[in-house]
Amino acid sequence: MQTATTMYWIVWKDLVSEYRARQAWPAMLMLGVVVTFLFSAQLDAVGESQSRMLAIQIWLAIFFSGMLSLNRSFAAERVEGCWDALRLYPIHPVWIYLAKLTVNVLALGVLQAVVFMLCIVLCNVPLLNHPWQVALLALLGNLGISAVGTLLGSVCCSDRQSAPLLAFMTLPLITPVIVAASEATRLVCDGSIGAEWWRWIGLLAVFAVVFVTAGIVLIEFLIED
Amino acid sequence: MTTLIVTYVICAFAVALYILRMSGLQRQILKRMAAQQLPLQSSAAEKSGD
Amino acid sequence: MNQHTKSHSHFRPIYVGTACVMTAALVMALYFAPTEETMGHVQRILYLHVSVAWIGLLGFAVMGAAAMAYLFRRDLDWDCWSQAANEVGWLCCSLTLLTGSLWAHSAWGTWWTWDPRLTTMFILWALCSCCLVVRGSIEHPHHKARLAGIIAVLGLIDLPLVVMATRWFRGVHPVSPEMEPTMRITLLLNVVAFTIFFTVLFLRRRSQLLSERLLHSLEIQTLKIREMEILT
Repeated sequence: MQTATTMYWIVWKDLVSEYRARQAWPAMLMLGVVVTFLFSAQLDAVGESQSRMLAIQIWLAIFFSGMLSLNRSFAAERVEGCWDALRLYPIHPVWIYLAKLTVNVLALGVLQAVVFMLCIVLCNVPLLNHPWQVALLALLGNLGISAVGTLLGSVCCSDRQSAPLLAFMTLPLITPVIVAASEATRLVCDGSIGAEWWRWIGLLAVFAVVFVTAGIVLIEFLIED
Repeated sequence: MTTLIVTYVICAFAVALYILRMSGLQRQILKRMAAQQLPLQSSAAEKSGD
Repeated sequence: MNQHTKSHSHFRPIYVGTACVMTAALVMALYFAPTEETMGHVQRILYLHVSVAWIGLLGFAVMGAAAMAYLFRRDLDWDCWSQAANEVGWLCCSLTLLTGSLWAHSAWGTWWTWDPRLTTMFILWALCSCCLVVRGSIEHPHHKARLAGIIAVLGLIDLPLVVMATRWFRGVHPVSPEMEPTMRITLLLNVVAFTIFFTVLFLRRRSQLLSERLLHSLEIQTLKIREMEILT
């Protein structure tokens, strides 16, 4: 109970500091909007395979813009000794990881909402015909990307040297998420929600579970004292 | 036939490059050992390191 | 451990033995193995391709295991294992992609297809490259080892999922075709010979990394002592 409350306060602290300083979210959302806009402008010309292109474009836009937020989540703690203060709390590093994961999931969720809405408006795709399926798919994809991104961010952002490497390190690892999520998005766009769709959703779910678990197990060995 | 030869030559070349780089590093290490007045055997470095 | 405690002679039995086995394997692959009917001589790429692909996978597994040992123990010796496996694995993954591409060009008339195995190998290569780049760009040894290590461990966990994801796409890669006994023996000999060769290379590189690290700490100590002497 005690730890859950502490976790809640870490999440709250991050959200409040983001609200006051506006360091990552506006940049992330702007990048998402601009990338989606530029992609959509070219999409009319594609013709038949439009939904295929659109799906991969949505997820790449989410990934690259989301990296701005993932990068910040631990890097923000490194300035002015915040990290040392956080480590002085009598809680296990797992809770810090879970709190950071929650913040990142929220950030990516907002980003996803914006990008999906923009795609519906600009490209006229029937994503809203299956709102629950889209929500499930977005949530699972979000969890997969955030779990890996947060875990790598915890090691990567402890100095300035390696921070730019995060996107480059995360992308090969989350290839299954990008592939599965964009295939599932394509199927939703085409309106065919059947066994194939559920198979991709299953893969996304397995990925999310495996990597959140890996994060919980490994974070203790990654955080330096 | 050409493809076959090209494939084997490229592979041999790549492996040879790696080995050359390794032996270059080895020479450098031996030089550094000499500068530290160590006998030219890596076992000595290991013992003193332990 | 016993590899690098002996002297640095270039004519130790292990090297001579490796050279003999490698020569035998190459002669078998290029000369004695029967020429395949449909593809002709190009089919002989197979012996090389399968062997380096196997070493690439093995290298990746060793890298992941050593990285995990490092993360649990925080002992830089394990990182030397991991880095050596990383370098050899990267070399073999690259060669696999290259030989596979040359094979595909003759067999299927295209340099690359989005076959599950090809895609998986590509992602493996990307992960190996990623670790190498990380190692190249960070100076602090523990920090470097930690970051490269976590990528290796996550990559190892990731691999089955990558295989699954790519398998549900599409496929042309031959799984294990029928082979003549001579061809089978040649392939086996090649795999064994390459495994020995790259293991020797790997152990050599590992001991080199180890002595480099110890030498580095020794040099720093010497510098500190000199500094003290100057001050006093």
